[in-house]
Amino acid sequence: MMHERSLSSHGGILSVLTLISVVCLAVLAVLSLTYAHDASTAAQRQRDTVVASYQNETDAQTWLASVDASLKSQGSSSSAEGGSSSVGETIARTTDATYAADSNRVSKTFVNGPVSLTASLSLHGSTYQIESWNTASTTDTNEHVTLWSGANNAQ
Amino acid sequence: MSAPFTPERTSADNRFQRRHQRKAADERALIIEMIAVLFFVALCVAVVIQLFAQSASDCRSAHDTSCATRLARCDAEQFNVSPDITTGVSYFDVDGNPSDTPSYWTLTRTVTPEQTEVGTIYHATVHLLSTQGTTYDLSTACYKSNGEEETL
Repeated sequence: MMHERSLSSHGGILSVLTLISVVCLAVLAVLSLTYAHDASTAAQRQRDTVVASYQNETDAQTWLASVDASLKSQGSSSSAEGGSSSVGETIARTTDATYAADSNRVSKTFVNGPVSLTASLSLHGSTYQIESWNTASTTDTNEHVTLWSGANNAQ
Repeated sequence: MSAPFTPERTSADNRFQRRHQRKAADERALIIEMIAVLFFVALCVAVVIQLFAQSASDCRSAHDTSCATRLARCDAEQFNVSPDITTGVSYFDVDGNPSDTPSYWTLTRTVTPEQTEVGTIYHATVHLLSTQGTTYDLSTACYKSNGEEETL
């Protein structure tokens, strides 16, 4: 009688232990998958940000070339310092930039996805000087941020 | 010769027989339970292995993307310093360390100069290819004015 009860109870304990082990293993697997998915999403977001950042750089360098060309072509006709403001206004108009007459600067902001680049040039006759070259990134602080936000907030 | 028939003897035999039958039924139930648990465990282990395999694949992909981004960015910054250095090929191992011989990553930088009236716009494309077939492309540009020093 004792032997029968022992055999039966051993079977029950084994089943319960197996069940607990399986549940623990499943939880570990799901956590592992969530972490991996999160890491993958974060890496892809980093890749997209870098690509957007360098796209802005390309646009800004092209703009720089057009500003230089405008300065050279118009500076040769008006070499006096007083002509800088009209040159600056022309550059701002033709390249869709903004011109600040008081500081004699043209600036333009390039936006690509969440990344923006603001370039500011000060004009000196037919030459220019890069005053600032700032890259900024905007973060979407929406309400649905969770612990594994990488998976849920993929853009 | 045979044992004499007594009521006590019959009762003991019946009890023994019932106990024997119950024991056999318990053993059958235990075997059935073990087989069911075995199938359940096999099923769960198969699912868990699939989950772990997917995790490993995602992690490898994330590592590759992150490493490729870093390598491409480093190369793009080197290009910005010296845009006139033209096309080149570099090799990196799986963790992004430089290698002299062909390794996990092959980085190819292609530079295309575009001459303008007053300067040159150098367009660069950084292309990364891994032995696993992962590719990554990054495009950038750098403008150099003719005969003038650019100051920040």
